[in-house]
This record gives sequence, structure tokens and C-alpha cells, in this order.
Amino acid sequence: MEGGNFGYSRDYLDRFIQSQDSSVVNKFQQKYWKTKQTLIKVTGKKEDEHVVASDADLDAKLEVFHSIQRTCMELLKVIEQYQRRICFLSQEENELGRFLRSQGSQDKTRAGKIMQATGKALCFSSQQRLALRNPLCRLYQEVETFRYRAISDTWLTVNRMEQSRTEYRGALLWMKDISQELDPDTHKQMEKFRKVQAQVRTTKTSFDKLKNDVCQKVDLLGASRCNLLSHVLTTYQTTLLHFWEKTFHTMAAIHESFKGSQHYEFSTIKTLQDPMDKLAKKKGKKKTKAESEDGKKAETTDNQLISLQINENENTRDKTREDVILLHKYLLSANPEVEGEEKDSMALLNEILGGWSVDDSDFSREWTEVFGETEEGTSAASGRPAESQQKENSFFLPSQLLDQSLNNLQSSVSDWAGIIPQPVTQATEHSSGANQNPSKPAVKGTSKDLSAWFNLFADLDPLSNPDAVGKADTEHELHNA
Amino acid sequence: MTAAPYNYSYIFKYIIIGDMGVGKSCLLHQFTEKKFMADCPHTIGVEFGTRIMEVHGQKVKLQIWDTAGQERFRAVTRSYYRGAAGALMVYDITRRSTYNHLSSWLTDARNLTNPNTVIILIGNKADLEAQRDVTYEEAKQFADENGLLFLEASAKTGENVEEAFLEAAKRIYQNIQDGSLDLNAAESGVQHKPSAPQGGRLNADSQPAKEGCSC
Repeated sequence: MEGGNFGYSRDYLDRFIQSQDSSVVNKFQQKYWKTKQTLIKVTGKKEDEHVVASDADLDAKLEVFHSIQRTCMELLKVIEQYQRRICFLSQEENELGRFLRSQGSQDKTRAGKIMQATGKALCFSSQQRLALRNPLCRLYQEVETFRYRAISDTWLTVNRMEQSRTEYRGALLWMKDISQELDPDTHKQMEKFRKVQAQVRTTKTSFDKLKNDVCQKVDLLGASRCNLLSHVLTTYQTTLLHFWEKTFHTMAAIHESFKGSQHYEFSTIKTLQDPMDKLAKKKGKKKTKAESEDGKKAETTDNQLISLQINENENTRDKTREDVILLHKYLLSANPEVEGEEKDSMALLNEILGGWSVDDSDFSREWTEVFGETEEGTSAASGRPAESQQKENSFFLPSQLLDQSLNNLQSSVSDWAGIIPQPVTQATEHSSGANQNPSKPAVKGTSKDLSAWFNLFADLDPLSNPDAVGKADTEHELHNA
Repeated sequence: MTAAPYNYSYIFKYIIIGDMGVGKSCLLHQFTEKKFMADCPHTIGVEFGTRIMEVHGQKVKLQIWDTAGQERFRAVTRSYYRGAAGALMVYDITRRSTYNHLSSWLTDARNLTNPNTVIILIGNKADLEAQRDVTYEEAKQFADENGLLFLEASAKTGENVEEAFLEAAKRIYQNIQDGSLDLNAAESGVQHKPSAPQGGRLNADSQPAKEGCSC
């Protein structure tokens, strides 16, 4: 201990001089420990568990942030794909409609009228379908803006926080080091300790502040995204419902007007025969004279045609109705086989058509799933067709489009067979929940402190000039605070 | 530390440990300054305080290390246990969780100090009787089971604060007298100082170190 003969003043002088001299040394030391901490972080060495544990809530928030980032990106990709496929589908639908009309006009029987009417309905439906693109466009833009503005802003804050955290942890390492040998009675040691303590104190303050900033921003981010999605998805949902409603009415009208027509028997490829049989049996048909096609792959490819055969049978009404629905479902639902790989058109076609015979069980399972509903639906009174139609529509979920690549189908295929396009769907319950769930979330209660922020969100519109809204001010505050 | 001549015979090193916010710094402040500090910032690492007491006719200087309770400082504060003669383990009687964490604090204390270290359990904030969450009895039982002294105190009113430090000091002194505490051992936590020369500055009982409280 330095001599105390001169009383206090010398001590203070000593300290003063020391602090002046050591400012460079000080800086070096700070840098040293900060670098050491950075190394630890980068090399992934295990950090002190208590230090890490004390940041648990912050780390959880960071997880949320990264998840928001990731899912926004994915959402954008998905929307883009979806839009594209709506286009394709609409085109195909239109083609089919036109084909039916042209064929129907050549057919002089009642069947021709049905075909024409159905064709018209399909053309109409294809146009209506395009209307879906608008809300999707808007959703895309909003999410994009959200990403560019809100997410990147939060990202900046997160980075600053990480910097600060490294400094802070570095200072803690330093303090730990100096604590190994500490004796309050030793002046020099205490000096050093005070230095470190000051360093820890300042870095801690700045880190704590940034930590709060990050937590608040992430909460804000989540809440505003919920808000955004719930606004835009409502529009989309409404549009979708309208679309379905319109097409349903059209189809139902056709269906109504053609009651009592004679029964058609499709001649289909072999695998479709089972469901046909089931249908026939269920309706109490005796004869099902469907021709069975050769199920072999090679032969089904180029010459596949579905020919209409008029088959005189007793019970006509239900069957007709069913057939129309059958046609729709058949066309609209799909083969679960194709996994959406890029192939040239013919190969893909081969696969689709061939796949039907190969993967018997899967497809008929799905078929039954689809038609099972119909069967139940149509077995009841006439009120039901409406419902089954509805079911049919609801079964055809936009999200099912997501799993395929229609690119190749898009290219010209002259065969009628080629028009059996379709969205190859994976069986089932890929409910549109994916799209619509985000719209439900009531803004979850994130933290109680933020209730004021939520009020702010009551009318937050992410697309409007962010500088105008209160939100931006407070974010600005956070930025500067 | 000021370079004043000392008139104490021993220096006992104490550490104060416990969860964040139980009142460690306040206890220290009450003990050394006889004042209650309402708005104490979080302790960074450790703070120091000293006071000279009389134990069995001997003047003893208590060198008190008030450690940080925040979890992130745990690794840092573990270095401070070494060479402690006495440990004050503090919990808050109005917060059950601070009582529940005592076993982990006790483990640390036992592992990092020598077997003779006197540990005294303090239930702070005894003035807040209305919000009591831990009964005297159960804490007493815990203390007895673990061989700890126990007192409920209040840094605010000063109740039992002196007694806490004194009790521990007495016990340490007793250990010295009956030989269980070896003064020559490196980390006994006790330093034996020769008597100060007569004259020189007479230190009053409360002699807080200059760098004691950071508040």
C-alpha cells in the first residue's frame, strides 16, 4: 500500500494520475476482454451458464424474431407460387370449358346441352377465379413492405444489442478475472477493481437498455404482423367465399335444370372402375358396362380418352347428378402421386396417367375420400347436393395447389387427356388453415406493459406511410432513446 | 482504505450472499451507516463495508463483502467466498422464492469456504409482517438442520442488524479461542493484527470505508 504519510491528498493525486495514464491501458484492456468474449461466442465455446441463463427471456424473444423473419420469407414465396398456379388453373379451366362447349354444340342430344351449360359455367368460374389474385397481390405487397421496413429495423436493433451484449459479457469476464485475487485493503487492487466495476456498470446499462428495446420491438413486430395478416386475409377470404358461392350457384343451377336426364356411363381406365362400381351398387344399378381400359402404362399414355357412353339404365336421376359431380371432382381433385417434380410435359403426363394404375390403392383411397362425401351427400334429399357441392368446393383447397408444379402442364397438350390437368394434390387435410390461421390470432397478450402499444395497433395500417403513424414515432423513440 | 492507525486486534472477513433484492446492500448500509437506503441500485460484482466492533473485550474490524445477487454475477461472486470467516445468508421473508433458493446458496457457501466458516441465516424485511411469506418456525428449522445461526432482521428499522453481525463475530471468536479456527491457515478469513499504538486516531465504532457503499 502506498505510503499514507501525506494523508488523503496524495492518494487522490495518485489516483488521478493513474487514471489519466491508464486510459489507454484501460482501452486496451477493454478491447482485450471484448475480443476474448467475441472469440468465445464465435467458436461456440460454452459460456458461463449463469450469464446465459440470465438472458433467457431475451433469447426467447430472439427466437420469436427469427421465426417471424423466416416465416415472412416463406409466406412471400408461397403467395407467389399460389398466384401463379391460380393463373394456370384458371387457364386450364377455361380451356376445358371451351372444349365442352364446342363439343356440346356438336352433340345434338340433351347431353350436348349439358356439356354446353357446364362448359359455360367452367369458363365463368375460371374468370372468377382470377379475382382471387387481387387480394393475394395486396397481401404480397403488404408482407413485402413489412419485411423491408419493420423487420429490417428490428434487425438493426438486434445487432446493436448483440454488440452491446458482447461488450458486457467481456467486461464480466474481466471482472471475474480480477476477482480471483482481491483484497480491499490493497489500494492498487481496489483501483483496478473500481475500473472494471465502472466498465461493467456502463456496459450493463447500455445492454439493459438495448435488451428492452429489442424485447419491445419484437413484441411490436409480432403484433403488427398479426394485425396486417388479419386485415388482408379477411379480404382474401371474402373473395374466396364469393368465388365459391358464385360457381356453386352456377353449377347447382345446371344440375337442377338437368334433372331427369339419362344416365351416362363413363368408360374409364381401370382404376376408376372400382369407385364407379361402388356408385353403381350404391344406387342399385344392375349393370355397369364400363369398358375397362388396359391399365398398362404404355397404352394409357397417348391414347387416353374418356369416352362418353350412353347407357340405358333404370335409375337415372341420381346417377346423372352424381356424374356431373363426379366429373367435376374428377377433374378438380387429383392424383396424389405426382410430387411436383419438374419434368417435361409428356413425361409428367405419363406419370400422372400411368400413376393411376400403378398406385391403385392410394388413389382409390383418395377417391373414396372425395366421393365418399359425395355419396353421402347425394344419397339424401335434394337439399344435399348443395352441400356436397360445397364440400367439393371446400375440398378443393387453394393450399393444395401449393404442392405441385403446374409449369409443365401449362405447356400445350392437345389431347383431351392432357386437359385433365390438375393440381396434383397430396391427399387431404392440408387445410387452408395454413393461410387462414394467422388471420385469427387475436393479438396475443404479449406483455402487460405493452397494452398501450396494442391500442396503438387498433388501426395500424402497415402500408400507409409509417412515418405518419404513432407507431413510427415510438419506434423512432426507441431508436434514439 | 484510509491509512489511519488501527486499534483492532482482528480482522474478520464477512460475505453477504443471497438472491437479488433481498436487502443485502441495505443491511450493510444499515450496519455501517445506521441509515436505511431506500433506493439502492443493483450491486455490480461486490461492494465493501467495514466497521469495528467489540467482541469479548476485543476490538475486531469486520471487513464485509456485499456480493451481487443477480444471477449473471454468480461466476464472479464465487471468487469472493474464499477466505471468509463468516457468511450472512439473506432471504426476504415476503418472497418465498428467495427462501427456496437458500439451499443453492448454502451449497455454494459450504463448497467455497472452509468448514469452520460461521454461516448465519438472516430473514430480512421483518418489518413487513403483513406480507410475510415464510414463517419463523420453518426457517428456524432449516437453520437448525443445517447448523446455522438464525435471526430475523429488518434493515429498514435496524432491528437485529447489529445482533446479526455480532452473533457471527462472537461465534468466530469462540472458534478462535477453542482452537477450531487456525489463525495461521491461509484462508481462515481472520487476520490477527497487533494492538495499535496508543494515541493516533481513535476510531469510533462505526468506521465505514471510503469506498464502501456506492450509493
